[in-house]
Amino acid sequence: MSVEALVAAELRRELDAVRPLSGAWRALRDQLADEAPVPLWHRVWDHGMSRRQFLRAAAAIAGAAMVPGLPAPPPSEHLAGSIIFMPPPPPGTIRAGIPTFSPAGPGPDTYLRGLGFCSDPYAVASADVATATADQLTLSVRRLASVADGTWLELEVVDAGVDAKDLPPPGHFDGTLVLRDPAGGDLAEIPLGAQRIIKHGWSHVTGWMRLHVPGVRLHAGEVVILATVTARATTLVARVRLLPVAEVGQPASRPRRAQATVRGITIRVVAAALGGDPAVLRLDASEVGGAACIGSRMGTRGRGGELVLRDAQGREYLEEIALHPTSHGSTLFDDVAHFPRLPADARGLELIVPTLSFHDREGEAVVEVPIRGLRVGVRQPLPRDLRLGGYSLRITEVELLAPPALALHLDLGHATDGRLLLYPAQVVVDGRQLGWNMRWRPGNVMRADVIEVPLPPGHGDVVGVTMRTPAVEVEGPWVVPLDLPVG
Amino acid sequence: MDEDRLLVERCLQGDEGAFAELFRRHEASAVRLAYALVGDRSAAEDVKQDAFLRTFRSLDRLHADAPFSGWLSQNLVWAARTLQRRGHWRHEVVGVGELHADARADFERQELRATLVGALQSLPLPAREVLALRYYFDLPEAEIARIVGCRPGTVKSRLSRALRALAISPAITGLKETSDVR
Repeated sequence: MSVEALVAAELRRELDAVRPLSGAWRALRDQLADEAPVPLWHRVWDHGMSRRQFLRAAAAIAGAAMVPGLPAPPPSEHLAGSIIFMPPPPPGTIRAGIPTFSPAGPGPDTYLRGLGFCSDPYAVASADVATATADQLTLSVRRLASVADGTWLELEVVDAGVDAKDLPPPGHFDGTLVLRDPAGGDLAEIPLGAQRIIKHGWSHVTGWMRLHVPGVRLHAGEVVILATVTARATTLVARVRLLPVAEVGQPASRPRRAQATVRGITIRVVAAALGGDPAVLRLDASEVGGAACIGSRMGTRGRGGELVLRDAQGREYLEEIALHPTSHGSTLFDDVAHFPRLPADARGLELIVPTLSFHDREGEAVVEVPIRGLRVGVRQPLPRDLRLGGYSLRITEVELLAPPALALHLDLGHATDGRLLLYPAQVVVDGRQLGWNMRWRPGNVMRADVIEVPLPPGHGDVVGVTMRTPAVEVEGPWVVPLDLPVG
Repeated sequence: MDEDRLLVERCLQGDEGAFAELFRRHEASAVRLAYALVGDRSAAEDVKQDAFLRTFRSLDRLHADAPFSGWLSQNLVWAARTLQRRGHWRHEVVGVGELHADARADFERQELRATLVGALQSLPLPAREVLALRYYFDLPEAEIARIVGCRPGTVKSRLSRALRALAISPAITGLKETSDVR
């Protein structure tokens, strides 16, 4: 009898006799509920939708907004994921779907949940959710903060009067928003429009919106919000109580020497609010050449679960997924990380960042693809070795898709010096940006196995596909020491 | 769509009953893998609970085509590694003792059966991971590689080294003699 067979047989005999202890589910369920580390129970339900609903809605909106006119991708059974990409943002900028909170000032640091870190001593923010109801519409002003560069609002409008199987049109919640002081003077009027629309059941839809009113600074006291939904010819009036941010937010601090450098890239924790629920860190990274994402591959999926806080006792706290990515105006996507509430005795914290991804501005690869002779749905070998900046990739096959589109099957190779090519962040056909689609295999999320591009009308027998802006994952880990008490 | 995937979908809609059902379906195999990794019943329960916690917290990242069991196994491996970093577990089976050549065969087999996990504990954790996943869960090398986070070639070499190490351990040499005699 071979050693393999012996090990297999004896392992099976021994392990089959092992039985779990009773009552484990109750303990786990209590742990999930009490420690509030589970967005499924707490974070998302608070917002009246599931995480999957949120992710789908976000992806749908991102896709619709990013690449109008892209042909629908054909079904593909062997590939697991698909995402639609927009052209890359201009160098040095982040094209966010929602405005971001970028406070300024030398005051004490405060974290305003859902908005970001604030250092403006004169800033004010809402302490409670303010609501108003009329004509089957309900307005909820979930958050409001006013800092030096303007006023930020996060609103929800629920329409209980719809009768539709599908989502209402994107403009369903369009209208106007007026900020008015209690004495009746109008402070500002801006367009109202939902950035996300979520359907609940057959008759309820929610419009979610985050708005920025530049140049309008509010003070402690009360402000009146008038939201007019044009389609319903209804105006909702909510009164919001504003307090100094020090009374509303979580006190934050700036850790010293909280940085780690791996492969020439430095990741820093520039602010931390560790005493509340959630515990929050603001992150920064040294310049890497383009827009970057700490701890995750880039895309509309966002980050969550990749970053880990570990204390001196070896306890680990996994990052939560934030509903709304927050950026403080740098070239980083989502530079705020949320963790579950830390126990008061947590000491010697370390932040563990497994990877960093970025869009490298350098590099362009061009491949000429003969269209003549290609048949829809039939792969044709087209081996081409290319260089995209400092990275090698190989095109293995091409395929014609219907509606007229071209699929390039890729082999992006292995990591070199800890850097792994994920996908080209920009693909153009015959010099035209028509949008593109990416697919990947199970277990290799966000690493392109296939890219699909629409064929431009009137294309010739040969089309030129140009790939630019390689998205690259840099392997860590970065272990950032955080010499801060939790309390 | 398999039943696990349906349950995951229900979990992602916030169905608490689906969590309970997923837990019930996979709890036994999870605690067995944990026991093979850490060699201690109590620590195995901790590892199992931690792994389920990690798994449920990150369900939305489970890819549509990826099996729930693989995701859970990955988190079991990670939870065991975390526990090892803490140096926290004690060995329920302490070492592999010398065998008495004149012991009765049945008794000897019983003893050997009881000490196989002990023999595993003499190996480094990466070796235990691949051994348990390969020979208890019958997973292919590619799947093991995905779970433990290495290349398939590394799995193959770890398995080979681990088997060589086990082959000279008293537990396996005794078993081999017993099976050869029969």
